[in-house]
Amino acid sequence: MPTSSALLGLDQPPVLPQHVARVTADGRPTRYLLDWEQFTYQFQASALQSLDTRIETVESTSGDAFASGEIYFAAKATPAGATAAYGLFLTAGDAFAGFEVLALSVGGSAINMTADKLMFSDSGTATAVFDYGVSTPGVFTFNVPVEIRNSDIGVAQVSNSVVATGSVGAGSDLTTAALTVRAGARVDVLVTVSETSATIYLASFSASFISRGFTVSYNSTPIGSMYSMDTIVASNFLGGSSYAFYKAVTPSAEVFTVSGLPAGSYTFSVNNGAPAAVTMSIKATETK
Amino acid sequence: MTTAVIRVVGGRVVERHENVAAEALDELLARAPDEFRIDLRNTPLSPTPQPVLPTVQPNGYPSIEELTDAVLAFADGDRAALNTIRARRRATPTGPNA
Repeated sequence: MPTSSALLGLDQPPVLPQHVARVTADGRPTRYLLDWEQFTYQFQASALQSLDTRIETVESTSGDAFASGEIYFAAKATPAGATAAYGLFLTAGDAFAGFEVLALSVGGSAINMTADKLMFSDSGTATAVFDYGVSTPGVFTFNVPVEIRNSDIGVAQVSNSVVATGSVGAGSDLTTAALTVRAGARVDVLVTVSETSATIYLASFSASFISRGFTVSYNSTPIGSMYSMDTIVASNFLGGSSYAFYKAVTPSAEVFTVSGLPAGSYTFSVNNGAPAAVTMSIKATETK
Repeated sequence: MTTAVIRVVGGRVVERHENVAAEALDELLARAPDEFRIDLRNTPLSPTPQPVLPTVQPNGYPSIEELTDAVLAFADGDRAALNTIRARRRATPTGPNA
């Protein structure tokens, strides 16, 4: 709506010149004064209407360029309930920004903002507290510490892990399901060997100890090895000076860390270096 | 959305996978199509079979207590205890004197 021309379409009536008579000899207003009052009334009516329209909507067009702004208040009350709303909508070419506040007496209210960027600054410190699409397109960036209570963090929103447990035969691998990580991820890999009773054997006398290695890898790339050794788990008196000793692989645990992984899916494995089946676990957790 | 998967071989639960993401499930199940299955009951691993340990036979040598008593009896002229030890050693031919 061309509000400017409407407001200015009716010229403001000038003040009557000094020589123009305001009243007749009998004290009544002259026709000049009545006409001036009529013009003034019409101008005020037009101005008020135009001003009211300007509060709601403004538009401007120049060639192909177009801009508009609209503000509205709305309130409605019925026996069924009441609604109040306030809105602000701005358009310039293809760019659009909007703000809307809505309240319903039956329950529910909303504040909706529409824009391709958002920023909030601390007026006291001039700190850009947070922004969306300003620092990095498409990214919500906080420039101040953010505190979220632990109990308010959703399940599996922070920790990203896979766990595998198995009774693994000698020389075989225990491999996790694939874990999808972000670029530059750090993954902590916890490896354990627990139930080793299947490795019990009759030990011969020796001064040396027997070491066992459990190779840990991701996507078949070795990370390192967890080492354990055999220890005596039982003995038997055979008579005289003879004894039998039984050994088994010692349960063990170790944590390995992989840093700087490219984004993608990875499986994590541990190889059973014991001479028989043992129970092993492997847990890979993306921590960064 | 994650799930748990178990691997059953020969009626025994030999592997258990937790926090398996939906996109990782197919790859995991494809490793051994007839062995992996979704687990909704938190099934634990089956116990590890125990090894069959070799049976070690006593070698027939006397304990120090038995030998001490036999020597003291022999000093008093009683050879029975020593003969018992000798007989047991002959019956179990192990050790350097076999």
